[in-house]
Amino acid sequence: MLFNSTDFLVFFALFYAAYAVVRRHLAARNGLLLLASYVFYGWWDYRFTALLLTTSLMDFTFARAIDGPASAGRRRALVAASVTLNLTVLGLFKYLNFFQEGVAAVLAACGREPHWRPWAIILPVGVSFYTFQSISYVVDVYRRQMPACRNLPAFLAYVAFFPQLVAGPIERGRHLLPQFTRPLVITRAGLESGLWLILWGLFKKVALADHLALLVDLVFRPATTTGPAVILGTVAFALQIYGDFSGYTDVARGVAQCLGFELLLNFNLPYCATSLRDFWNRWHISLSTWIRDYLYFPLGGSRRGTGRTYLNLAVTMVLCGLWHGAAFNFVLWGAWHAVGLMANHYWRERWAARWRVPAGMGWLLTTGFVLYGWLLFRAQSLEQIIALTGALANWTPPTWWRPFTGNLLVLGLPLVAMQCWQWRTGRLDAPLTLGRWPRALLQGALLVVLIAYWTAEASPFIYFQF
Amino acid sequence: MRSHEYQLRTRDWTALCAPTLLVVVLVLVTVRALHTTHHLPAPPPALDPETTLFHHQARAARQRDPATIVLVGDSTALMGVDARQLSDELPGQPSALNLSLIVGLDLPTYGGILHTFATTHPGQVRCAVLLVGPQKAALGGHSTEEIEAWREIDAAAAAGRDARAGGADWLGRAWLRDNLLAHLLNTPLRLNGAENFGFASELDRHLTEHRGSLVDFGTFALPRQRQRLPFTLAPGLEPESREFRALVPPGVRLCVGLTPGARSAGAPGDRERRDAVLRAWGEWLRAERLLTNLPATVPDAEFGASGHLNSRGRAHLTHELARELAPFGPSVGAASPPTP
Repeated sequence: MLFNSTDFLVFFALFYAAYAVVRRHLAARNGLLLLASYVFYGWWDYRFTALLLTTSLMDFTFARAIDGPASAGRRRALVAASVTLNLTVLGLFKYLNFFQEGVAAVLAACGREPHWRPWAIILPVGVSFYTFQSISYVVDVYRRQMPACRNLPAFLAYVAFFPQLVAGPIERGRHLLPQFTRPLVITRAGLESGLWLILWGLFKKVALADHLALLVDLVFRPATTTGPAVILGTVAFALQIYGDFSGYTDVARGVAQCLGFELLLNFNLPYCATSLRDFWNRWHISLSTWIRDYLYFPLGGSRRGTGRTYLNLAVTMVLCGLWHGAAFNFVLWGAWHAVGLMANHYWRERWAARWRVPAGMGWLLTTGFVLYGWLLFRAQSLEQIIALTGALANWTPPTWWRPFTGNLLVLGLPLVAMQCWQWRTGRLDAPLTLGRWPRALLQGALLVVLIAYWTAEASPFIYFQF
Repeated sequence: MRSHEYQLRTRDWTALCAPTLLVVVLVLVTVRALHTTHHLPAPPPALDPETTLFHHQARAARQRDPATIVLVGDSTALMGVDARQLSDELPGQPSALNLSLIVGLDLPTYGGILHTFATTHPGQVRCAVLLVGPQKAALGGHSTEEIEAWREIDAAAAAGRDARAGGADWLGRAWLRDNLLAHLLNTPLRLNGAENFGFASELDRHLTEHRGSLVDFGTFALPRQRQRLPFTLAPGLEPESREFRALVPPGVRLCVGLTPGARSAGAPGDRERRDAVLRAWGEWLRAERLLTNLPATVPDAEFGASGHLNSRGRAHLTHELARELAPFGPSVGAASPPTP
């Protein structure tokens, strides 16, 4: 079920009514959340729920065993087994086809035909998100950062919590899980903030990102041969992916707030970043902190010398790219950011103390770097990356540059204006500081546009494929 | 254990939602009132290439225009003849307008748009040029859906309204989208035409600037299994041709021709076969002139990606057409009609 579908509106209205009914019984609330989350997830394909249930039960059991009076070696073996099983599931569903295609390509290059047929494996929606969430829980229990959950329905509801199940934020057990085992309070302020987040998130997805997607499609095609077209298309994609993904996150956080839950912040004005390191502190925060805590730090982080730091950065970012999808362009995107972070690290170590880069210059360099990264991310093949990069040398504007730029300004303006407002006020909930009627005008305008562009066939969020 | 508690009352819910909903209701009511009183702006061209073309040509057929030569036909005529160049190359530079449509429509539809223009501009049109591709002549046929789509747009243009106006749901979403918000956002084209024009508004502008003519910007790619050019005449075209003729106003000279095919698909004797087709078709149409001096085939390099002529091919064909029409004299129509 997609947030931007009428199905979801009906589902959520019915669910919210039932949620009010169970307010006196914690077990009933968790039961209702569990049922609703599985209905929500099974709406795509009911078979996926079996996988979700299996991995949840597996991690519940492993965590209980790890938290018990086991020896250090046994605990280590258990956590290794849990992580391995989780990654095996992820690898099987997400990367097996990629691997098979890679081997077939190598064989073909050697003049041999592969003697197997690729399996038709469907990628379960959100598998990367809930797998990482489960892994973090088991590892946190192993590290004694939290106790194992002993309430199975609460744990199952935590893993399957429908607002953030399919595209995050990737929650940590110690942040979200306790909210399933204690009473929650729904206040007017929380509801106000939740409804605003839902409205703004849906507006970003339906009114902005979906229209930006049409512009992006116009550029990311073989016929594109000019630099201005590539630049315009890449800027459009940068806005699209931000509108799409942060829109999803806003709706997820808003829905959770309406239920009394608090989810992690996932975006904090990413395009205001003045360095690449700063960008990764602001973009997809729940993933970047996950990778930092469960991959970069265990590899040694920056504490084992310069060479090892660069190696750790490279490994981490390439895997981060691969997490996004089983395709070479994602690996390249990860490698590109790894190179950028290494340069960033080198600069900080060697030059930052002597020469301070002005914030404007830092922003310009970071934005340019991130934009080329988005080109790698959006391209569909290595050939397209080469073609689009080559096109940057041709400065003939495309015939349609005026309407394209016009559309880009119209669609980008709300996103940019909101970010400027949030940045200047230092508040992500800046619109909530408005008075009743100015806010009603703003919300009413957003709602009218949303109504106009609401369609029966909702377009999926980009991050669902990951 | 208690699950959750609501620290808010009914009036909090009202205070949260009512002002926003009031704004929404006011906007929706205003839009409905504007629609009812016909004060909503007309929708801009915001459709796929085909529908944008239909809207443009339906509008162009009814607008004041000095054209004395009107071109009609399928997309090979739409993209094969440059109306501006034709005017420039004819003696006295008579104004030409391309009102060609697409292959999926039938001859009476081509005749209908000519008739509309001639009726809107009484006594002005001196010469009508009907051009179709060899495939259209050989196969005939048409798409009922495309004819329906054209008729709907044409009827709406005749009534002075836009075909998209009126189809809104109870919230008036279509008015919001098409009549208001579409003025802020150009609609990108998809499929064919997208890489050339990018947006429906650009396609519409190009059509207006080039007097109804389009061009294929692409490069010809030779199909793997190329079929020979079918220089035959579909029997089904006979009743359509007679219907077309009935729609040509008296005093308008009708010139008929076939647009050229790619040379790689040609064969010896194509020109003779093409002329035979033209002679038979000219009889059905009672055409005043058969355009037999147009090339039957042109080099592949003069074709674009979509199988239509590219700008070079279009310039070539337009030049040949101007030579064919030149005998009509400086005023196009002053001279007596040549016999077929």
